[in-house]
Amino acid sequence: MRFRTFTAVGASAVLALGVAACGSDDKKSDSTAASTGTETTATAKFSGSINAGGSTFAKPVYDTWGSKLKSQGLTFNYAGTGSGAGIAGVTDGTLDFGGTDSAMDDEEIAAAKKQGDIVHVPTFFGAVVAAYNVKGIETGLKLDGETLANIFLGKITKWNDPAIAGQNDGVTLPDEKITVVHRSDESGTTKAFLSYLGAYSKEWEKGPGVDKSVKWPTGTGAKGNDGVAGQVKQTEGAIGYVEQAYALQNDFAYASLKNKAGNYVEPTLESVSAAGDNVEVPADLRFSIGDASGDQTYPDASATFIVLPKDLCKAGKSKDVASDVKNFLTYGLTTGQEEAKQLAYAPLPASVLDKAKAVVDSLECNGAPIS
Amino acid sequence: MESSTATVPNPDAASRLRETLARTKTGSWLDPWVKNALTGLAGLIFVLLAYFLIKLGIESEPVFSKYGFIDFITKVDWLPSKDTYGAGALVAGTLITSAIALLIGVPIAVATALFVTELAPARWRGLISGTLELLAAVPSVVYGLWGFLFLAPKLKGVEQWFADTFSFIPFIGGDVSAANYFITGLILAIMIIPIVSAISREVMATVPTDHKEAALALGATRWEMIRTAVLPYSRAGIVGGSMLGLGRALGETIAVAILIGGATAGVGDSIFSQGSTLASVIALEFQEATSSPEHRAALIGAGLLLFAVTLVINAIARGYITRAESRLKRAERDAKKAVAAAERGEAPKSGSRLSLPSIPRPELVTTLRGRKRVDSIARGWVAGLTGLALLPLALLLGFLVIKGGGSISWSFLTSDPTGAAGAVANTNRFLGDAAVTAQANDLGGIRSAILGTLEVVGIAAAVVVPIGIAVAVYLVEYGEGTWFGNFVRYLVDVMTGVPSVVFGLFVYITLVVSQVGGAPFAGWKASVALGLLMLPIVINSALPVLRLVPQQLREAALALGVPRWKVILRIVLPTAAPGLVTGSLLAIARAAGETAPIIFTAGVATALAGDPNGPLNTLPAQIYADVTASSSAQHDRAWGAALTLVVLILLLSLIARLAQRRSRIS
Repeated sequence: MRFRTFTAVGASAVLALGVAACGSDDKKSDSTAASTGTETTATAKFSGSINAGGSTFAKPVYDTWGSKLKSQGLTFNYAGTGSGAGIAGVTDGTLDFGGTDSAMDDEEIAAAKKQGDIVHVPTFFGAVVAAYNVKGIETGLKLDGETLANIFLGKITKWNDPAIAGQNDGVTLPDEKITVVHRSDESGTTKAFLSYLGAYSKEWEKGPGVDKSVKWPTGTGAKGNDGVAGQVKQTEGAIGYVEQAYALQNDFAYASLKNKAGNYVEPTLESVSAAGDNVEVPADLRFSIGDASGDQTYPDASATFIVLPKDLCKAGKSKDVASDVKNFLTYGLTTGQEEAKQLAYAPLPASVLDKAKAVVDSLECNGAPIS
Repeated sequence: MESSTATVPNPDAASRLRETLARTKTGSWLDPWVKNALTGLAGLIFVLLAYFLIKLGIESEPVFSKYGFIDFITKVDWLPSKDTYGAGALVAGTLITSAIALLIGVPIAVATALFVTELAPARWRGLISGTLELLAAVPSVVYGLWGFLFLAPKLKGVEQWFADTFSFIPFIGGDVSAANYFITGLILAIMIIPIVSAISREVMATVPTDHKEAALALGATRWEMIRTAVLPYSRAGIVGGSMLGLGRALGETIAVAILIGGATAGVGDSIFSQGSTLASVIALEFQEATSSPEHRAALIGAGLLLFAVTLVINAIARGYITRAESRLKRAERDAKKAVAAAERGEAPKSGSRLSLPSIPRPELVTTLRGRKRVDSIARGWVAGLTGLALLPLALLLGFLVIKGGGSISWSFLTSDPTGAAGAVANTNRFLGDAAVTAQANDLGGIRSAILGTLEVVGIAAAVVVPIGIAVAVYLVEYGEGTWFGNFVRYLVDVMTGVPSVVFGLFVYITLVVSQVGGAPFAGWKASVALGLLMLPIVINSALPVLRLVPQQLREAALALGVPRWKVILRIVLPTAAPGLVTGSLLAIARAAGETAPIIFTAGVATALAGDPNGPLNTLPAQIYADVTASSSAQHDRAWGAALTLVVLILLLSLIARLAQRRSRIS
């Protein structure tokens, strides 16, 4: 099934390029179009480069997709500058598309109006984990939302605090100071993490609040998921929140978080995918999964989106860029889903995936569909 | 022409002279054109700077009109997510880090200058000052890299101990954050030592030997000689040098952005808290700023503020340095007069500047043994502080060579970075099976970064070096003494003080966001930003060289009827050529290491791209991206790229030195 879709997409893209591309590329795509059905079908599917940026949550996957498509002629540049910068890059047109983990709000959509209608393409789910660097606690601690909120509020300052010990029978906790590490840039990862804190702590909700960046009561800031991971790695006694892939890459321990049903759940393919099971997706696909119900659902999962103008050509990009972006997204929603899984992200549930594909199909160039 | 032609009227020779004169005179019609063209280029500086200020003024207007100037710079409340922008915490952070830099940097720099000029054995002098100049050639991003990966983690324990032990002192104590004001100030101190030291050295070297010998002859110890003869005379120069160092510290961006943490909402409780400076917040937030016009206006406002402060500080610094120079000249004149008077057998006039009222000052230590002890202690301190100045350099270079050398290989230099992170995720924990294990990713090398740097810097140099030299030629050949010439020279000085991050921001709002040339981020836009930075350096380094061209050469040529433009082209420029090459190469070397203007303009790229109208990778951008990553493999690549960059810059400086050696006028 997947293979057929892929071939079909490849073939149609090649045909499209046969018209659009010029010079020597033309001949190449003609010859490959003749041999439909082989792996080489997709050669010369891409005609140039995509310059994108934003979410560091999603960066490992986008980079992987980009490197897989390199052999097909794509030069892919993705700047991991944070979701806020991804949205800003789409707003001012400096990026071909932006990555963000929290859907753009109405105000942001209005600000981006000059680029035309903005569409959201969800790409996959990931888990925001509370990762820590404490000698002696290599296994997953159990933490509930309120405890985590109190740590980030600076009210719990020692690893052997009774609030932590109470949830972790049998674990020897050291009498060590907790160093909080948080993001310093505008981040969708932050918003996802804080919505978990806000759901269980009134004090957090009323104080710092839930947003892409807040006034932190305590802790050290760092830029990007990578920056937070680096600080946690360097600092004994540190706790920070990162996308799971960054925690796994750096071999961090991370906590099992208590969900709505009262169970402590570790983020796994199953528990993260479960977060998308009953998600209600509005027509414009601006959803958030947050603390979903379900016995074995990980409570701090997040979707991530690619945002872009529906008509890239009207927003000033070339036809080649528009077609490259469309092909990139199509790849991501087909073959790319499996690759995301290999990097510790959860593929989109079928219902969301279909809607996402429909958005990609509806992309236009100067009012005409991109074939 | 032989002088005989004038004395012996020889019809043949006279006609030959007429012929020659006629030939040399050809093209004199070009003179006004050349003059106008050069004047136009000089005027371009005015247009550029005026546009720069007006653009920044207009773009930042919303934030100043919303908050008012005073509120904007004093309110401590910078929260982009809530759309409130009070830059108080940024102003405070800028002041705190600069103050720490001066407190640590200036005494050390002055000590090194004293050591080199007064105490060091002659053969050490060149070595020490050369080493300090090396310190000045290391780019900001490399200091950031070293500070972030080596200094900050290594010093954290010491800082915590210090904070706990001395917590009774205000602004010390509490939890030490890995990124903080102090560590930033420390790195800034290391960065300003070469500047302050170089200017102090220059001033100290001009203290009249007579004065020093007089002090020694009166029985003063070395230290007393330094205190009574050297320091009073060089004080103004030292203050001026420190102010220049302050100007540098205020505008320093990338090293600060890496080390200060980026907290903007409030001022930290202690010097070990994290914060932000005006410059760092611009570098860290510019990419997020466009979804809110007010945020962008606030960042530009911060840039404008930074520019204004730097301008004032630099003006004060120049005032002090000029005063120091004129005072030395005056002292020399007075000394000569006094000597002449003494030779005529007159008694020195009381109240003359040469009378040293400070000598019979009551001393705390009066016994000879005590004075000798003070002398050796003071000399020990000076030598010790000099060692302290050289220590970070040794550590930095050591790490650079060991770490960087370890990453560099042929394939490292000839493959492109892949853009991948250090390792594939250890996904078995996520997938719930043990099949997938962690494996190293292929990170690739830095080929695209090397070539991109060469391309960006090359374009900037090709355009800016000729313009800069042309403006300098105008200033020396036509503008000397005219109001316009003085005005342009003043503007060039103003331009020298613009922090590079502000140039980056300027190019970002004028060329990148408006997508001039069809693409937003582009290599040539980075060239523009670097060019703006290089232009005043090229002009200022060309001015003294052109002035050194002997006036007689010009007069001789002009007397022969050679048109002015030909004099410039055939006499002035060739004579000054080695010096011009040196100055230009040093300006290029300086630009090659700049990071802030590049991340604003060249975008993010990993693949090799020759097209300057698209994103280009560069060494500074590659280092900046890799420092902030968490994987040690990326850190290794950053070290390798840093070593490559430093070697590149040193090569340029070395060629510059060689060119200078060929110079016949200096």
